[in-house]
Amino acid sequence: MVEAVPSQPDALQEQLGLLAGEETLLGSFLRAVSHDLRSPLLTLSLAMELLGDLPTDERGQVAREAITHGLQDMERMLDAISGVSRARRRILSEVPMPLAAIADGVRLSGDAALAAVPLALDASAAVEAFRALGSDAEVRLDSQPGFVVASTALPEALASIEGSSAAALLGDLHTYAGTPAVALAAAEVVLARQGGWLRCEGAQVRMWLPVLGRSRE
Amino acid sequence: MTTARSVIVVDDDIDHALIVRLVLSRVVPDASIDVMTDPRALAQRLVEAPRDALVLMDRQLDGRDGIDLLPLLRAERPDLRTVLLSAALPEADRLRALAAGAYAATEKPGSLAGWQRLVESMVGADAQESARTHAA
Repeated sequence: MVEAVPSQPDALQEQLGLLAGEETLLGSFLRAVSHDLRSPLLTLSLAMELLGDLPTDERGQVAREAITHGLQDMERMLDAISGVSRARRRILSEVPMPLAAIADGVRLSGDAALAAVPLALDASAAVEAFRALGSDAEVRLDSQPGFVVASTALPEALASIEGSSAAALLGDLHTYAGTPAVALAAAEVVLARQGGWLRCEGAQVRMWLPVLGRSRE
Repeated sequence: MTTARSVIVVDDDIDHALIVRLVLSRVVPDASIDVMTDPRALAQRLVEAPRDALVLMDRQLDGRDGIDLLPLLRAERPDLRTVLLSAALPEADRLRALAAGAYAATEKPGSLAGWQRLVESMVGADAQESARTHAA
């Protein structure tokens, strides 16, 4: 369903207010999940490790392993949520830097000159995402007005993601937690905070990195 | 290098505090380990803390942000090495804790090995050697 765009300034302000409220709610929820649910998990994990020293029968051993695996799974999923939460509050460098200055270990291809273009954002999260995708990943650089567009192939496990990697991750933690989708989602959040964006499409990920001095329309 | 003969765990989550005490008794068996779970008694108890003690303090204490307690602690007992711990600690908050006087600020480890690494990084070579001997 396509919702009507509010035509009155008051209605627009109301929509913006609602959006800001939801943004605040989301931030609070992510922080609470990251911290408050992790606290008892840490206690449980440590307690299980201490119990591991005590002798037990086969039934007890099976139960311990089941609990341990469950705790590890929960930790994996909480780590993924924390990754997104941290990205929302990550301290960003304000020093303009080209990709070439921070992309050690990432194979850049395409228009090589674009790697030297100063960017109007901290692209370190984007570079971390490329690294997380694997050392074999080749990152192709192209230009669009006002942007360096960096793209690379998604690994098979993430190839079905279309659109927002953050939405995919938070919508299916069981599948994507503990995979490079966490780094992709973090990069997506960090880029969005700075006027860039990241999208997955056709088994590729593309990141639009605004260049220094571009005009904002 | 100074060694931590005394470790004080400050955490209002009693279960977690007691589990951490058990963990620490494994990783620093020679240290005296004290647990404080009542934040209201924190100021008085820390005044009485042994010199050069290592204080492992949870960030959230009865609804108060432990970072706010650090300057007072630092002023009253500059000899104590206070490590602020949290289940999740964003970088900005870690830096704020260090600026407020924390000796270190980090996320709570979720394993014995993690606690061993944390304590070894905070105490001296004597304690490290002792922990290794007992863990072997």
